Amino acid sequence: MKIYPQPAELFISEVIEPVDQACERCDARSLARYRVVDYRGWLRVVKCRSCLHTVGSERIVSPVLSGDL
Amino acid sequence: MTSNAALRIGIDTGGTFTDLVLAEGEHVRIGTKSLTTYDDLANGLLRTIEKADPGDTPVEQIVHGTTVALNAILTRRGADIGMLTTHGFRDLLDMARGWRPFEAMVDPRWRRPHELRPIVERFRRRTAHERMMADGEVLMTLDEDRLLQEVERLVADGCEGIAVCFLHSYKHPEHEQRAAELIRSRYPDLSVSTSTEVAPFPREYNRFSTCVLNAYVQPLMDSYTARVEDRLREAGVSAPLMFMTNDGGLVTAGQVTSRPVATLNSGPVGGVMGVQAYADRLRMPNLVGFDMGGTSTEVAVVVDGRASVKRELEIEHDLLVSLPVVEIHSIGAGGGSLIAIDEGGGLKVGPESAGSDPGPACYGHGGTQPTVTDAFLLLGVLDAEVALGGEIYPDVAAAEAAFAPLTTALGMTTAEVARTATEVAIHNMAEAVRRLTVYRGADPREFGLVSYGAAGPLVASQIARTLQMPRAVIPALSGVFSAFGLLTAQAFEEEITPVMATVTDEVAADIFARARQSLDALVRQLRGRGNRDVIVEAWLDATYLGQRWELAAVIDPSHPEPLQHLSEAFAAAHQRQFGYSLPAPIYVQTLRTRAVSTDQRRLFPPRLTNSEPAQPKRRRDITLMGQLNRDVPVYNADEFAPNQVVLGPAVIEAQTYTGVLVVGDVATVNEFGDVVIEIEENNQ
Amino acid sequence: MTTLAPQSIEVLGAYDVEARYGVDITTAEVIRHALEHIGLQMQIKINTASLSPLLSEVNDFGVGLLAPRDVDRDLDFDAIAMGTAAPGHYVINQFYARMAIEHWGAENFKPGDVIIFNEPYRGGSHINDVGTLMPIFHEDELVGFAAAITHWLDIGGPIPTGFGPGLQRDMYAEGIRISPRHLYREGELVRETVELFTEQTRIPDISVNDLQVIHSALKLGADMVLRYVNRYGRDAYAGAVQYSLDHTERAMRAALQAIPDGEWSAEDYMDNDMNGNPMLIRCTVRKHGGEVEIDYSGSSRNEWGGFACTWSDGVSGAHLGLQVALPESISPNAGAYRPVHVVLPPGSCLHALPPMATNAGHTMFIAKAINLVKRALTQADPAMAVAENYDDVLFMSFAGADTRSGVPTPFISMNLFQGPFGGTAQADGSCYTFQEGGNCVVTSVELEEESFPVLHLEREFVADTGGSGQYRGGPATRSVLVPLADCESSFQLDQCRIGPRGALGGGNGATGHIAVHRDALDIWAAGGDFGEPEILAGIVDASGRLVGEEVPGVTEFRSSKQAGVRVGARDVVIHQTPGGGGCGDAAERDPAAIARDIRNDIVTAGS
Repeated sequence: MKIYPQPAELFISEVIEPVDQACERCDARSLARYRVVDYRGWLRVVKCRSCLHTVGSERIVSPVLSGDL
Repeated sequence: MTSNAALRIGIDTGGTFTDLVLAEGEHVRIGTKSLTTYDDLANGLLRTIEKADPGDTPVEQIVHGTTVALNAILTRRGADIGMLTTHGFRDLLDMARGWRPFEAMVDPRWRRPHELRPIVERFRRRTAHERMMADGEVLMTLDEDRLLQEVERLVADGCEGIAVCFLHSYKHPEHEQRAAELIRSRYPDLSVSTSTEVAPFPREYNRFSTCVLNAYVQPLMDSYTARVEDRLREAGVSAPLMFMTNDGGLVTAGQVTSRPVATLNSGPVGGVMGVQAYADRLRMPNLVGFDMGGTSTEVAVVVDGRASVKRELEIEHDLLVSLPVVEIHSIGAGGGSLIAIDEGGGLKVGPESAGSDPGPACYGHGGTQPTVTDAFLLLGVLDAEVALGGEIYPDVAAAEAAFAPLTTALGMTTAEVARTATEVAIHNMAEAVRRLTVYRGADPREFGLVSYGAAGPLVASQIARTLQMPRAVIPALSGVFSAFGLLTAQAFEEEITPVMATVTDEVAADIFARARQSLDALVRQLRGRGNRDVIVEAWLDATYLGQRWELAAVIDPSHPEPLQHLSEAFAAAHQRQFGYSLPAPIYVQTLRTRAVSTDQRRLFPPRLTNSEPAQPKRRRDITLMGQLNRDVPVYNADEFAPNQVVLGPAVIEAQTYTGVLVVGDVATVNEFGDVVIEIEENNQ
Repeated sequence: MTTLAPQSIEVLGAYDVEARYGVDITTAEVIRHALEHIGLQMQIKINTASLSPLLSEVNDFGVGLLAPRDVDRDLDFDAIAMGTAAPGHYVINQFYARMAIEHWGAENFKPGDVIIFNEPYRGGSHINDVGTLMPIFHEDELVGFAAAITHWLDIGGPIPTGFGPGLQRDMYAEGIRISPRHLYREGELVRETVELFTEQTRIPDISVNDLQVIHSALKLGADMVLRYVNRYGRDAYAGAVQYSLDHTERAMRAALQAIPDGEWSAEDYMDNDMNGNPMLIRCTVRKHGGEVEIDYSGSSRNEWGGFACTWSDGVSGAHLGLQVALPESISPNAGAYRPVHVVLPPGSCLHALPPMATNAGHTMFIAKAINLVKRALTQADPAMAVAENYDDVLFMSFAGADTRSGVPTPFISMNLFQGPFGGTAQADGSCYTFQEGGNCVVTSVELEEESFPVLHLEREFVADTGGSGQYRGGPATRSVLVPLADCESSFQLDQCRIGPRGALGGGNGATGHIAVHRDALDIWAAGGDFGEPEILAGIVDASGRLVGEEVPGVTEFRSSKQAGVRVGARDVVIHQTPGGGGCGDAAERDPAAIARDIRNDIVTAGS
């Protein structure tokens, strides 16, 4: 089991990486790449922040195990 | 005390129908059904008796099963009562056992049943300054003046009864007894129940709930039994009115009045006692009793000839009567169960029911939603020409109309929806049977099924097949089976002795000595009441040290090695219930001893007298288990000859029920009219 | 329950069921109903035979069935039926069981195997929650698993019961950690694995029994599944399982569609971390159509001493919060979780990073995770409004030596408290039940006093503690406990700093607290005057008196989660839960309801 230091920041937020593309479902330009947990585990997704449509998703190992925080 | 000429009557007042069985000695003379008259139960009872026409022969005994008290609890129409309890525990009734029922598991909007519909609201729950410790040491002595002040308040507020409930009272009853003594002498007209008298077992919430419910229905049972006895006497019937207890015992009207909670479930229990009697007569010691009614299906098991007994009856979520009760598992699946599409687009059968008003669509009383009864009608299982329950002619068009929205949504024919719905219903009911068998490690393939009630005989064979049971029985008096079973009630005397100790050689020897002493006294008492043949029973409620849900084990207190015998008996009971036993210390909570009368226990349905085998009186097409069967023969049960063999598929129509045999069934009608079905493929 | 307009749902006709799943609708419906029954039966088995009160009465476990793996049917060991024990354990097997199977290798299971594990950082919660898996084989094919997650009363380590908030600095200080290994190898109990429990925990006899009980519950589930597979065939079973999951997914999406689209946030504070500072937790719920995203960004980082929980716990809390907020009752199989995404960044207090301890934090934070989703999502429609209930898993343990029989015997008395719920848009809050993560039976005072040298002297409602509103919150419950031996105590309570919040203008419920009157049993028995108590948990002024609200620089907060607290014999401990929050404007309250509350001493006239 890898171990990690306590974060220096007092409050923790997911990094939301904007993706410059229009949503194929609602046409808004609010796509972003970030990580979520779905019913089977961790995903890195590209989702529309406006209509919650998932444009793309990739199964990833949980951050604790992968070391990729 | 018994003579072959003496008559006995069993009479069960149910939700819709009142069933009556008139027996002459060991033989049933007649069984009848009539509609229950709610506004005048006593007169209704009398009219039902008159309909059976006992004539001039004296009636020796009337055994009554009634849900009057149970209904009063369910509808909150009991007496105005107050509760006096130990300082610091005023809110136990509202708190109950804390947990939520399955359907409200994650519902933050759910309210506890007692807070929504109280039996005793908070302002009538008062505390007494008193506190016992577990070992009997008095932490707070009973403040008698304060107690009486609280009672005065309650009486002034209109209470006609008081429940006295103190902690540890089942073991150390002194404070409760003193409180009751004070209250009864000051207020002789007040009805007083103490938890020690009603249910002297550990677990305060269970005991207090039982005591409160007792006080709640006591005045009602008192006036009910008085009224019935008066009407009977006026009509010249001098037979004593007796009641069946929750575990198959027989008590007088006087005993019912002081402890009405002991008879709350007497009707359904009557049915199970009937199944126990069949286990004996048919020499089938392992039976599942299956009673399919309108709203619900009740399932019970008889193992080694004895009905399985549980330690509590749950009336609503957390509203308990903590007394030994014949174990009956009830599920919301019956003839009136509504068939619908649920929020996921799947098919749902029950638990909502059309009840008796408006009832199934085919009753023609305005019901528009399809029910299981409507499905049976449309599949041909019920005869469109024959009155349901002898009273209602089915409206086939109404039944079909009720199915229309489902057939449209599902793109299926009416017959297909009806078939799927009945399959789902049958599997749900089979699950209820599994609950009491498979999930206890008992194999239903070693059991026979006795299927009774209004609709039980319709599904007997199908339920048995679903569970791979080799044999099913439709008893001769299926439609009035509970009333039949009531007449097998046994008079008894019992004593309950708290133990609350871990078993050692000394503790075991002491328990056995106390049991022997108790049984001697009980036998004397029972014989003193005129009973001749008496058997004795001793039970221990126990756990492995640390477990929380006690198990009952039968012991023989005359055994020369108490510790060894007790350990083996408990281990065997644990093995039967859970499938394993442990080399661990045993903790005994309670010793229960009983002397039981075995006088007049056998009861036979009327003998068939036809010499020629019955011929089918007509034929019709029926869909059974997914198959359309053409020209299925329909028999009149009254026309069967003894030992006649009937092959499935077939329909049997009797006065109080309709039964169905499916393809592969080989049924023999015995000399008493019981239909015993062999399911060949399960008979390996 | 609420007045939301029902939505029409897509109904699959018999033809579609056959076409899509390759199974007839009757078989599919029979199996769908049967799966729920099986989960319940597995639970009852554990309830009735276990020795640990946490399994027999507290219901702190989850048990159920996992689907087969079938790529074409999009089945991957998903949870298809869970018993009804602790809802907090419904979702977690999607991760806990899955990661254990991955770690072990799905191809490495053999008939008769049971594997056991308790690693929180592999999809688990805390080391007390022991996971078990039994593969279900039909002929040689794996058709799924029976799975359980059961809370162990003691799991070794320095603190009896394993709950040591503030004392267990990191994960190495908690207790035994078990990576997946055989408990049963091809039907045989593995002695070395059992010895981990008998030699390293304080409950060897309970462990030996309960490991076997769990095995028998798993076997029951496996046997029942095989009945259906034998009767209908593997393919029909898989089709029916797929159908059951899709059914639940449809029900969840329909429930989501019924709510307006939008984005709502809620904030709450954990009373204190190890250093006494409050911890902010945030949640934003975004919903569109039948999809929902729950985002805990902006919450405090994970803290030492057990003030954090694993991501799998955070995600479980999110799902449960959704189930709680929705008015419909939806079966808890994996289909219900398909429309949900949870954003939970690593390093958050809801996504602990090793070596953080999570033993104490598991219960604290999952309760907050649930409550925040509930408070956020119910803003979507006034008809859904529900004020805050008491949260956390409230417990107080006493560990000492029992001398009643003459021979000193170590004992651990673990006492759980239940409490009030918040008012809703329709009605007052419930007076007393367990928070939504669990479902415990209250233990009997009489049996507890036989088993342990601890007296339970009072348990009653307290007037004027429910939050005001058109529909008030449930009242606080005040319990009085008196150990008869010197003890070491651990306790967890929350909302002692800020009372449960009202909704739609309703008032907050009263804060909770724990106090003690040293050596005061005789005074209690005589009904005498105690004098000022010593406040163990709560807000105090300069003189140490309990007050209702914090004033920076003036008041002090005494931590509501502590371990290793000394309580002496005959000390009178007073434990008071918070009151439930109220809902709506108090001026709108029905006068008949007010009169009833006054008559019942729930509210004092004029307050």
